[in-house]
Amino acid sequence: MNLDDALNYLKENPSDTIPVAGGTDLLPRIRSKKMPARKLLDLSGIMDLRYVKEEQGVIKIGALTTIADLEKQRDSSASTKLLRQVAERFGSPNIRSVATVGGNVCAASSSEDLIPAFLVLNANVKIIRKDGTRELPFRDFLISKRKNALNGDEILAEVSFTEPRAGTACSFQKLGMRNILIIALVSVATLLEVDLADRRISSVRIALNRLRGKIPERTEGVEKWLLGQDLDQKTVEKATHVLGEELRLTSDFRASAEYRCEAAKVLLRRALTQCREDLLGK
Amino acid sequence: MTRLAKHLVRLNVNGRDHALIIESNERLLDVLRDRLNLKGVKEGCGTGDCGTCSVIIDGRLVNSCLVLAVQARGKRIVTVEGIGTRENLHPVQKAFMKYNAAQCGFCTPAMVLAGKNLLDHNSTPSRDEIREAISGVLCRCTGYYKLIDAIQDAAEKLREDKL
Repeated sequence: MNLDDALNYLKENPSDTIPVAGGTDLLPRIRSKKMPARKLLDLSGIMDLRYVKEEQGVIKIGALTTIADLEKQRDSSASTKLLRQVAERFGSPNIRSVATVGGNVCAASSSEDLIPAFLVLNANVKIIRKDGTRELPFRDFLISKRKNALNGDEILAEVSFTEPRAGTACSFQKLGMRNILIIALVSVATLLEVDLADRRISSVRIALNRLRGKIPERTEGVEKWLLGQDLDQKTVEKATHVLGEELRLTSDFRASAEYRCEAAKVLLRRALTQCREDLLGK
Repeated sequence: MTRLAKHLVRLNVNGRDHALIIESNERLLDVLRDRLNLKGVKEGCGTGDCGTCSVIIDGRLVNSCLVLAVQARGKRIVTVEGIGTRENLHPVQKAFMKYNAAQCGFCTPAMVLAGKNLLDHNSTPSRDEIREAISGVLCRCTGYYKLIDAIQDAAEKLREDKL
């Protein structure tokens, strides 16, 4: 099976085929009957879509890149460090060897750890079908829980983003019941750029795995409040209060809304503190 | 109900080639256990959480309950049956015996493979690296200290053997 075969097949069978990559999310869902067992199209062997590369300041990640591939990236850019932080907390080593970037993103739920990271990186997605290509901002790719923007004859080919400028720091924080093999109760990704002359925040993006609904979102209230502030401990504390005002979380069997809110504030404090230390030293 | 498609799939398991007719929805776990009689591959949760069905595919530790057998087409698969014999155990297996690193034994084949796969890639792992390498396999009885001690000891043995 190569990429052309896959796209041809989807063109002929757009309504009843589910593409599968690593299968770590899909297979248990089919077996537990949360999803009908329709035709599966195995993409896992398509090496053309497995790469991480940089072209003129734009980082491009093929959809079939595994999480273990991300973990192995060793350069010290802010985005690589962010994605590595996500990868190190992702599932378990066994899961990371097969789970893919595209599979995680397409699953479109609050338990997909890469989504908050791609939201703060202001990523774009490239979608391909037999007869063409289209690009979308990453945030428009997520429609609602378990629903993405792909049509039946399309697959996600690539996630890309502009490498943040020097003077930018990122962080990813995740809380669950243990360190490995957990679904995040709360996760927070932050990207912070500071004007080193006056220590004011010149650019900021923050995303949580849940904010108001059941898919990851950017926290516009906190971002707006932080812009132009001095990056000091007082600002970090105040930001967690602003987040508290913005959160509209619900309870479920994993945790109560109250617990999630408190945890979200703590994780935001940790993420902003890590960015501050990366940028300005301890 | 639609009939499932069947595929002729070649798998290399523990160094031997097998040609098998496999239905689309068969998991690698079931093919290894039920068709090739490799009962060292255990099914715990069946959802990718416990890791007791771990096998090594092309040098990577993978949960065989999450892989369709057709996806393993043409790959090299190693199970616990393939790393040593009763007379000539793998150093990780010997170290597990020396350190009593097994109690009920259900996770043991996966733990042995996790240790072996780590040592294949890293001959001088730190304790944290060992923890990380076995973190996808859950043990609910002995705890992890003896496992880590055993894998560390096996690493030393393997290094000495190479000298």
